[in-house]
Parts: sequence; C-alpha cells; structure tokens
Amino acid sequence: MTEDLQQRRATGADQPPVGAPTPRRRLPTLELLAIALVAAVLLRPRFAGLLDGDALQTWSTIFVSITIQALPFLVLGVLISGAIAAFVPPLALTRLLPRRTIFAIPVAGLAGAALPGCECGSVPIAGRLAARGASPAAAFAFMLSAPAINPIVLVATAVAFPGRPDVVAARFTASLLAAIVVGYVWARYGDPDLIKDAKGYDESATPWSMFGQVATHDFLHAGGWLVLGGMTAATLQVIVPRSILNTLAGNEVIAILALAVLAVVLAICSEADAFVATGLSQFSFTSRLVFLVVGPAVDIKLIALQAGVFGRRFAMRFAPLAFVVAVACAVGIGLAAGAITDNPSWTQGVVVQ
Amino acid sequence: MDERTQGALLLAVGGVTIRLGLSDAAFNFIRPEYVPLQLIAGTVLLVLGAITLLRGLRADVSDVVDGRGPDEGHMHHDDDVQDAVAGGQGHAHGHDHAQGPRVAWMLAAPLFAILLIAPPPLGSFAANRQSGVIQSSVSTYGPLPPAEGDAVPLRLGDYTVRALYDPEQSLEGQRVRLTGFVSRQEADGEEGWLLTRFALNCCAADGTAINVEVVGDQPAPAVDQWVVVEGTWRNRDGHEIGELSAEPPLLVVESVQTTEQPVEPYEI
Repeated sequence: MTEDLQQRRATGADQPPVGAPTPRRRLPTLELLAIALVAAVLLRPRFAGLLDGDALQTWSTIFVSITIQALPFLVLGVLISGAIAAFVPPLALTRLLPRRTIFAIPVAGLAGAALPGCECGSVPIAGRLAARGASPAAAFAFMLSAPAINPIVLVATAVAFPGRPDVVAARFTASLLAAIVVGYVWARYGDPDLIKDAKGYDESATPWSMFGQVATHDFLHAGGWLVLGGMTAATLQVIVPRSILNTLAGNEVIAILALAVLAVVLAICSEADAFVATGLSQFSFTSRLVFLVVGPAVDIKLIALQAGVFGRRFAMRFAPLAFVVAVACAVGIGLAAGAITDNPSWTQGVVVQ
Repeated sequence: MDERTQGALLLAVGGVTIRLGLSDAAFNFIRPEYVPLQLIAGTVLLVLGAITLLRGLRADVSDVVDGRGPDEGHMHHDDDVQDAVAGGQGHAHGHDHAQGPRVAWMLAAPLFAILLIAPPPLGSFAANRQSGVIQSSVSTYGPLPPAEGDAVPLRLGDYTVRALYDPEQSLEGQRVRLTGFVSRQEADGEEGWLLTRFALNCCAADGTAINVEVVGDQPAPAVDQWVVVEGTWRNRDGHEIGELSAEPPLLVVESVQTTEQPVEPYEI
C-alpha cells in the first residue's frame, strides 16, 4: 500500500483526473460538534422548561453518574493497554509459559491478572502469541482472563460494590475458571487450522506514537460503549415499566439470561462494566455476576475483533463456546458464593413494588 | 470521525469532567472522595485530546502542502500508522483508523446532558420507584450523637435502623432533627408524608431511598422541597421492634423548616 501510494504520488495519478466530479466532502464533524456544544451552553436558559421532566432528569442523573464514576478507571485502563501495546514485547510472554499445554493453560490464565487493559488489547496480543508459536489454547485462556481479572478491573469492582469483597472474589474466580475451561476445551476439540492466519499487531510504528494512538482509540471506543451501558441501566431504572422489571429481575432464570444477553449486546469495557452492574440494582448478584463474567469474554465488539484477528470461522465457533462456559461458571460460582456467605442477595432480586 | 474531531471530543470530555469536578454539581453524581480522581482523569483526557487534535491539524497541513484537497487522499493520519497497516494488516479493528470509532459519538451525550439538563440529585421520582424497605445492617447501635440546640441531629439511615430495629430503643423520648426532602405528600392512605434521603454505595446509579413517615399536625410541604424536621419517635402500631418491616418508621413532628438542598445531597 505504501509503495503503491508513493508510485501514484510520483506520477500524479493520485489526483482526481481533470474534469472529473470533485470528491464528496465528508461532514465537517468537528465544526458541527463545536457549534453544538457552544449552542448548548448559550441556549441553556431557553431549554430550561423543556428539559425539566422528572423522568428525563432522573434518567440523566443515573447515566451521567455511571459515566463519570467509571471514567478514571477507563482512563487508567487505556493508558496501560496503550503502554503494553507499545512497549511490551510479546516474546516475553511466550517464554514464561510452560511447554506442556496442560500446564500452559492455567498459567496463561493467571498471567492475565498481570496485564491490565481493555479487551480491545488482549485480542491482538493473543494473536501475536499465537502467531509466534504459543499454544493457541493458552493464548485464548490469556485472551479471556486478561480483561477480566486484572487489578484495575478488580479495584473498579470493589469501588462499585463497597463492602462486598465476595463480589470481587467471585468475579475473579468465575472469570479465571471460565478462561481455563475454554482453554482446555479448545485444546481438546479445537481445530488448529482455524487460526493458521492469525494476525498480530505490527510493531513498526514508533512506540510513543503507538501508545498515544492506542490509548486515544481505546478510550473513544470504550467511552462510547460505557455511555450506552449507562443509558441502558438508567432506562431500566427509570423507564421500563415495573411489571416488566418484576418479570426480569424477579425470576432468577430470566434474570440470568437477560443479563447474559445484555452483556453480549453492550460491549462495555471491563474496567467500567461494574459500574453499569451497580446500576442494575434490582437484579440478584448471581445474574449480575453473569453480566460481569460474560461481558469481557464475548460481546459484539469482541466477536468483531476476533473475526479480524483469527478469522470469521474461528469467531463463529469461539463466541458460543465462550458464552456458554462464561454463563455456566458465573452461575456456579454465584450459587457457591451465596451458599458460602449465606447472603440472599446472591440468589434473590430486589423487586420494585 | 477524523482525528481533529477525535481530539476535540476528548478535549470536551476532559474539560467538562474537570469543570464538573471543581463545582458542587459533582456531588449530585458521585461520592466526594472520588472527585480528585475525576480531576486527574480529566487532565489526562485534555492531554490526549490536545495531542490527537494537533496530529489531526498537522495532517491537514501536510495535505495542503502536498496539494491534496481537504477531504481527498490521506486515508491514514500518520505515516507511522500507514506503515503499520502496510506491514501486516495489523490493526484488527475492521475499520479505517482515521475514521475513528463511530460509537465514540455517544460520549457527546453526557456532555450535553450536563450542559443542557444539569441533572439534579435523585429526588421524589426515583424514590417513588423503589420499594423503600430498610434492612437492619448493624447489631449494636452505640450512643446517640450529642445534641445541637435542643435536638439530636441524625442521618436518616441512622434514624431508620434505630427506629425499626434497636432493641434498646435508644430513640425513646429523644427529640431528633432530620434533614431530607419530601418524596410523597400522602403515604398510601396512611397519616403522614414521606421524608426521604438517598444513600449511595457507589454512585447515584445505585442510590437507595431511605424514607421516614412524618405524622402530626404540620401541613405537608411541597414535593421535592428540602426540609429540616424536628420531632420524636413513635413506634408504628403492630410493628415488633427488631423485625423486618415493609413500612418506614414514624416520626411525630414538632417543627418543620424549609431549607436549601445541601451541597452533599446524599448520605454515604
């Protein structure tokens, strides 16, 4: 692509031919954004009457609070994932893994705890690992565990659920377990041909430039999804009729399935999903644990990423596997946590009367 | 969105975050101890935004220098990234890097919400959507705080668990002072109006409404009005102290004063 472009520049072939219609202009998005923001500030008194509805204000309070609360954790997460993408050589990881797959998988799963960052980062890293000869099953165990059990996520979960260390412990255990199980299942049944063409991040960009770009891009992506997640939680709190909420949150099986699907549809970054879960206050902790474990393992953003790095056929097989294992592990650990702590909030939702 | 817009969006998010953190409005959303984190995060975003915006502006300048039109050519914003993509189809994101992720536009939503709506702290609307059941969370209640003036000031959370569950009835005969807002003027066919305050665990998203039913001959203030109420506790007929109750505790009112919303509207 570079050579081609250079050639075209040299011959002038990259200019539109004389007489051809001018290329369509993209929307001047920057200008529109600036105008809209300035207008919002200046016209605020005019809008005051229109936007005073109780439901709208409460909805806004909830989704803004989720976004604001999660912001520092998101920022920290993208800074670190950018740093890892830019400065950490992937070979370091492969050398640390044991040779035999049966041991490499749990070690790779645990290694995820050391690498903070969003799921956006772990997929390309797993791609690099696989491309460099690491056992694919171990790479996948790492790919699933790194976004879910790293320190930032655990701290964020502790902040989101103060006084509930059992929730943090359950999230760590269930996600690690799910990562290891998926690794073993893939080692046993997976088709190695599916990942022959694994693509990794290219390292030819200068490290600091790559750091800045990855951090910026990841924040924009994750921030957007965080807002969507916050809006969803706010909508459940404020707008969804109580009868529907009673049905969703009052029945454990429905609650688990609903939050599992929600986790797939809302591709929220793992540093931030605990704050969205905290907004789902009618739901039992087991169903919320399902939300927290499924999210970093499989969601629409991850499926797209995995399809890009490992190929579509792979993604079509891996996503359902990860989903089923994640739900099963989360439900199992949730029930165990409820039994161990004797706390009914694990299995019962608080239904709005 | 091109790189300039990405940078501008980051600058806007960072700027609004910092402005929010420096104002009292932050307390509508988060606990006070997390405000410093907001300021730090906002600063980082300002830096990232400035860098991205500058890179976008430089790309535009180089477009002009190379004789390209404003929107033609230059599909990649930086030679480094060009090489990276050329090298091995590296970025597995499945979209053109210079475009930026479209979902990022959602980040504009909280900006406009804060600027246009200026969301208030949770009020009567949110309180009335909750069941209001208060659970006992402590087993020993400790001594009451010292009186200020002729009444003991108590948080609603403190008052309600003592009123419903304290076996030693530490509230007996005590004149107490409670601060909250009116969430309902007639509490479902019962005598009084509901005094409410929200308790936060994490942030406004998980706020729990704590209610006290105020009975007596004082007229109910307007809904969502903040008031300071002084009165004494009376046990509700039929309620066994120590048992879980679906109904809020009672307060027999002696004086009601309207007041301003406190700077920190939530109880932690």
